[in-house]
Formats: sequence, C-alpha cells, structure tokens
Amino acid sequence: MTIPILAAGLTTGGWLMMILSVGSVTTMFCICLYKVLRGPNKTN
Amino acid sequence: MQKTKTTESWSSRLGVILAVAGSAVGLGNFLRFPGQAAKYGGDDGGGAFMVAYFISLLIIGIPICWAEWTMGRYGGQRGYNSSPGIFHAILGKPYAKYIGVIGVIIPVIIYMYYVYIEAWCLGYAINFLTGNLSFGNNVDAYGDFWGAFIGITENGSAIGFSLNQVGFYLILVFIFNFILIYRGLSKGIEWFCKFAMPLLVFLAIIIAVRVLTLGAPLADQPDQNIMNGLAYMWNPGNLIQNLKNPELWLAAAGQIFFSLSVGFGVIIVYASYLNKKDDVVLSGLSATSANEFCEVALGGMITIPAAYMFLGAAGIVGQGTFALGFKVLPLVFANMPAGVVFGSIFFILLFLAAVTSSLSMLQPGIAFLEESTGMNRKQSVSVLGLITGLGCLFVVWFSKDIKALDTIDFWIGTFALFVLATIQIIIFGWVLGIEKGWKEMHEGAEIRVPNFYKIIIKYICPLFLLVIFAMWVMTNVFGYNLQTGEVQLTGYVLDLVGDSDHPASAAARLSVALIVIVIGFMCAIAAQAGKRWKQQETEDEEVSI
Repeated sequence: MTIPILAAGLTTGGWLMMILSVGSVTTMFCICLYKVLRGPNKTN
Repeated sequence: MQKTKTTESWSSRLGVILAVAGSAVGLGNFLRFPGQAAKYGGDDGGGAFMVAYFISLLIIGIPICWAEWTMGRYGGQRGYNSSPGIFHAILGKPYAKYIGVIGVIIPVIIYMYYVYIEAWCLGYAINFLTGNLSFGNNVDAYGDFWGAFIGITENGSAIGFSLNQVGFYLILVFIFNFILIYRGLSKGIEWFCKFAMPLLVFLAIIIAVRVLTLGAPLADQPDQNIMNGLAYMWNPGNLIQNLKNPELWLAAAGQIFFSLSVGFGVIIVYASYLNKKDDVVLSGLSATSANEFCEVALGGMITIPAAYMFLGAAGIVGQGTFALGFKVLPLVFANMPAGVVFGSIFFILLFLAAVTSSLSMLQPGIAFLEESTGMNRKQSVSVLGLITGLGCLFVVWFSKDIKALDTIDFWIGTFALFVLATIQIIIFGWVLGIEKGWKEMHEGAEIRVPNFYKIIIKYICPLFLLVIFAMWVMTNVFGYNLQTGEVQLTGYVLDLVGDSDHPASAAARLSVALIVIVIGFMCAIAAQAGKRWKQQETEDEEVSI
C-alpha cells in the first residue's frame, strides 16, 4: 500500500464529506433527542 | 401463546434509549470506525468509505434495528424476554427456540473476551494517571507495554496482579459488571447508562476539542497538522474509483453491523420489556442516531486526525483496531500538552463505552436462564457468572498473539452476527409478514416510517445482507481475493485445519471447542425450555377455557 502525502489539506470534497457526515448525524441526533424529551418519558 | 409476564421493566423511555445506545456505543465507535474509514477509503483519504457507510446505514442498519425493536416488543407482549422465547412466540415451531439460541450464544460468548478488553481500558486509564505510560517518543516502548500488559508473548502471562498487568483490572470490572446486572434492568443497567452515556459524550467532546485545537504539534513536522489529519480521514479522493472497490462496501456494511449491535441478540431482549403502546420507531431511531453521533461526529474527529498529527500516515497505515487504540494513541496522548490528563480521560471514555456494552451482553443470558429454567435473578446471575468467568479465564490464559480472543471474535463476533441479522430480517419481512410487522411496528409509534421502507425491509435489506454475507465468507473464510480472483484459505481456517506452511493452532482449536460446548449447553437448556413453555401454554389454555 502506498502511503499518502496530504500536504494540501482538506479538499473541497473533503470539507463537503466532513460537514455532510458530521452535520447529518448531529442533526438527526438532536431532532431525535428533542422529540424524545418533548414526548412522554414514562414507559407504559 | 401467552406466558406469565416478567416483573422486570424499564422505568423511563429515555432510560431504555440510553441503554440501547450504550449497548451500541463501544470501542468500535472510537477505534474501529476511524481505522476502517482510513484503511478502505483509498490512498487519498477516507471520504469514499462514508458514502458506502451511510448507504449501509439506511438499507441495513436502521431497518434491522426497527425489526429487532418490533419483534422484541412483540415477544414481550406474549410473555417472553429471551431470544429463544421471542422466536418461539413469533414462529410457533419447535425449531424456533434453537434459532433463538443464536441470540443468547452471541452476547454470552462475546462477553467472555469483551470484559478482557474492558479491563485493558481501565488499566490504561489508571496507568496514564499514575504516569506509567509516559515513554515520550519511544514507539517500541508503547508496544512493549501493551504486549506485557495483555500477555501477548506467552500463554498465561497476562494473569498477574500488579498495576501494569491486566489480572487486577479484570477482577474489578468483572465484579462491577455483575453487581450492576444483579441490581436488575432499571436499577442496574438503566441507572448506570443514564449517567454513563451523557458523561461519555461530554468526555468525547473534551477530547475532540483538544485534538481540533492542536494545530501542528510537532515543530519539525509542519505538514502533520490538524487540517491534513482531517484530510486523511475525510478527503474522498477519486470517489467513483474508490466506490468500485467491493472491499470498501464489505467493510462499510460490516462496520454498520458491529457498531449498531444489530444481530447481537441484545436489542430484541431490551425491547421485550416494553409495553404494547410504547413507541419503538422513534426510540429505535434515537438509539441509532446517538450511536452514529458518537461514531461519526466524535470518533471521526478524534482518532485518525490525532494519530496523523503525531505519527503521520506511515504510523496509521496497517494498524489494526487494538494497535491503534493501545499502541498508537497512548503515544499520541503522551506527547500532547497535558497528555496525562487527556490520555486518562480518553481511556475512561473507552472504559465507560465498554461497560455499557458489556452490561447489555449479560441481560440476554440472564433472561434466557430465568425464563427457561425458572431460576430467580440471584441464581441466573450466579450461573452466568460461572459460565462467563470460566470462558474469560480461557481467553485470558490463551493470550499469546491474543489467539483465543481473535478466533472467538471471528467466528462469533463476526460470522454469527451476520447469520442472526439475516435470519431476523427474513423472519420479520417474510414470516411475521411485512404488513403485520409494519402494523406491529407502528403501534404507539410517535413518528411514521416512510412507506418505501416496506420494500427495503422485505427485499433490499435481505438481498443486500445475503450478498454482503456471501462476499464476507468468500473473502474471510475461503480467502478469495476480490481484486485478483486468487484463492487461499485464511489464517482463521488454517488455524483449525493446518497445512504445511501454517500449522494448526491448539489455542484456536480449543477456542472453537469452547464455542461448541457453549452452543451444546444452551441448546440443551432450550430443549428443556420448550417443554416448559408448552406445558405452561397448555395450562393457560385450560384456564382460559
């Protein structure tokens, strides 16, 4: 396996990939948390 | 088909979600996921891995989660809390309980080695705090410490009770887990997860902020900076070309599997303690999203960027999950400002993640013993403690090259997981039936699942799983090279059958023998349970007449 050299840093694709990945899971987590905390907390 | 209901239950909805999320969040989120992304994403960044990862999440991870939650609650309503009982309730056939036994074997056997890894995490946290892990830039010293700590050079050498040997920590975590499990579902597992999970996220955020603000920590290596570390994790490179690699898809689907604890026999048991009108759709999605947040947003920003800044790509390439966590990262933390503090926090974080996962591995066994033999909690905890204790001793004794751990992890922690998840989704979509399953899933649901998920659950998910499973067996068992088409049996098989270049391993063979013994023991109990359940059902029918 070749060992990559990434002196150029994050590319536009890299930024997009990171923001979309981290953003989507964080948004999903926050929405779910909000809905759960807003709803009834006791189990039936 | 109705059986006497258990007295165990969850005390709050948030509690059950945190318990399921705690089961899913483990070492894999912080070590395995970033390692896999960097390894399979391509030579110029791990971004391509994420595309396959999210597709796998949508078509196998989330649907199997919902199916498990729904089948668990369905079985619970009929009075069953163990995987064999739940399958018995759904299928109503004599063989059903034996299929369900897979859901007991997996967590019980995995616990035998997982608790050993949990002890590593606690041991590393304490050794960081006491300054025993400050070896500066001496790369070999970290490897030597790890080797001595877990007894990698000689069988039996891990069993020692000094601060830098695993035995002492193993006893501590074993007792700790069993105290919590003895306290029961709500007073033990739920109580612990309620404070451990938020604390875990808080600690991970502290570490992520520290890593992201390091800049370029080595003055003589300006290229090893945070931006290039992030690039190594997230750059997609030649996206289309990278996505043509079947190994990447296999790795991404595998990661989703192991990360979400699907096919593990845990979610189905946890969900069985819910009531008919308790939501499973939003709860399942919430537990999944909590796991994904920990894995992608936190794990993805910590491990690989941190390792890259101190060691460059050369220090990461070819490192396995354990080497990354217990050889590379200690060096990274030891060399960063206030490294003792951050290293300790990181291993406490791993320890909490490991405890919440290992607790979940015990409940399926407890539920099965109680339900199939009529034991009370004290008796079932004692029996399970004895079985897992002996198994753990076996794994710790055969510590040379972590052969026992590795063999059991391959056949049970990977192979059996695929088998159970495939069976579960087929039962949900085809035996219970997608329409009935869909209706059952939406009982008390706070959100609706989009209708196209019916097609995904019934057709796409099982097909995708079967293809991935077939590819996995071809590559990891028969050693078929997906790029060149060459075939050579893998080490896991050669360890068992041996050949002229690769003699069979006694530790690997004994590990498989251990697995067979546990399977036999659990099947014998299941056979007795079948008679007991049938008798109970006959009595119930007579009463109702």
